[in-house]
Amino acid sequence: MRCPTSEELAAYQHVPLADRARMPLHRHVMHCAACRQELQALARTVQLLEALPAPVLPDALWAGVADRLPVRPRPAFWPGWGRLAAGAGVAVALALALFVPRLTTPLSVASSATSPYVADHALLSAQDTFADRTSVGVVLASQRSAP
Amino acid sequence: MTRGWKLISLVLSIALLVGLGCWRYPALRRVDGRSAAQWLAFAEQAGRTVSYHAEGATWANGQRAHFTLEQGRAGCYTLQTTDANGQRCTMGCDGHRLWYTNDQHAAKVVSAAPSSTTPAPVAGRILGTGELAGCSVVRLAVQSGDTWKEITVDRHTGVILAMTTQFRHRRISAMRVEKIAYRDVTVHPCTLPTAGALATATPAQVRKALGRDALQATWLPAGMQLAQIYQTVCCCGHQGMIVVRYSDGVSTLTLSQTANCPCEMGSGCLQAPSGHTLVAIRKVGAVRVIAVGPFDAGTMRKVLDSVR
Repeated sequence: MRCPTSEELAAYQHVPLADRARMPLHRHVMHCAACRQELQALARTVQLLEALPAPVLPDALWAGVADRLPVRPRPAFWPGWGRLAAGAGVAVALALALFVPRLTTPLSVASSATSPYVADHALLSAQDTFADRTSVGVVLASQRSAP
Repeated sequence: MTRGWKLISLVLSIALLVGLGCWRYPALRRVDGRSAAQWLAFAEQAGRTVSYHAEGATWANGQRAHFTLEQGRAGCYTLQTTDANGQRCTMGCDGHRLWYTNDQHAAKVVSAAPSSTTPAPVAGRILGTGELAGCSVVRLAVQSGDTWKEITVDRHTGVILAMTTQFRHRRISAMRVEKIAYRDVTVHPCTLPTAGALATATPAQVRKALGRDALQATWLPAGMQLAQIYQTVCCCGHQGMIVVRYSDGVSTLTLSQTANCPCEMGSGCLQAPSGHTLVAIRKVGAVRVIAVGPFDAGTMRKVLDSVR
């Protein structure tokens, strides 16, 4: 088996010990002095890095990063309200269409002077093919005789 | 796919298309092989040819009443209504005259229009079938302007057994036969005096009364046609009132016209106490025109404005 690359050894190093025995690389490392040496060097490097103090980030770091980020357009305020207003407008228009005819001022009730014309109309309408003659009879029952 | 399955699919597709067509176009619906127009024609014919005695309940103007109807042949009938307050009205038609009289001593006689001149309704559709007063019935709907009627017709005889009338989606009257006996009925001739009657007017009589030909509407609601022109006496006693009647078979519109009548009456559109009927008044030259009909104010004004 050829010697593994540095990246392959670094990955091997992060595998838990119990799982390493199942890897083909393990047998090679056990018999290859060069690879064992490389592994020990990697382990020492990791130890040295872990021993270094954590870097303190400057306060202005985020501001600098934020300045370089592309500006994402903010959701528009008015288009949302516009849709809401349009919806409300449609609802009001529907409500007006449905209810305004009922809210309009009712017509004045005709005076008794027109009563004979209405009675004549009722009697003449009894000749309609599909007239409800019984309802004409109910209407005419209360008709008073002409003075 | 086998040949059988193909055939079943074809039949189901055709049935689906026919069903959708009948739903979308009510005129295509049929009961006992008759379309809505044929059922309405059947009912119209039954009104002139079938003789029977019927009793039932009716409702109009917020009043409930019981009615008894003696329907003879040739469209002759005698109808009596008695409301919950005991007020009675008797109406009748002997083929030549239509008349009514009531407990208030009010009475009127009208020259009956020949039934052949009555126009057919403007539109009709089948609503369904059912049973009423022990009869198998078909339910139909007819529309005239803002007036909508549901008419229930005996499937065997064509006689109208129930009718509900709505004006702008508001129920204004309803009648229902509870008992019916098909038998020969004798209808007696009208015996009321004819003074003040609405009598059919000749063109010469119209010119004598108004000094000109009768004013007529040049615009009318859909389906309305001239049915008859009458001559009568105004309620103030003024001779020479002319009444022009238009009808579509479902509703009537009248134009009462007088010239030089002493009755004081302003112009405008008013609601009759009965509710759905409107009274619109306008002066055209020397002639005062009073339009009465079951239409909205806009329609009534449009009719009056078109009077020439």
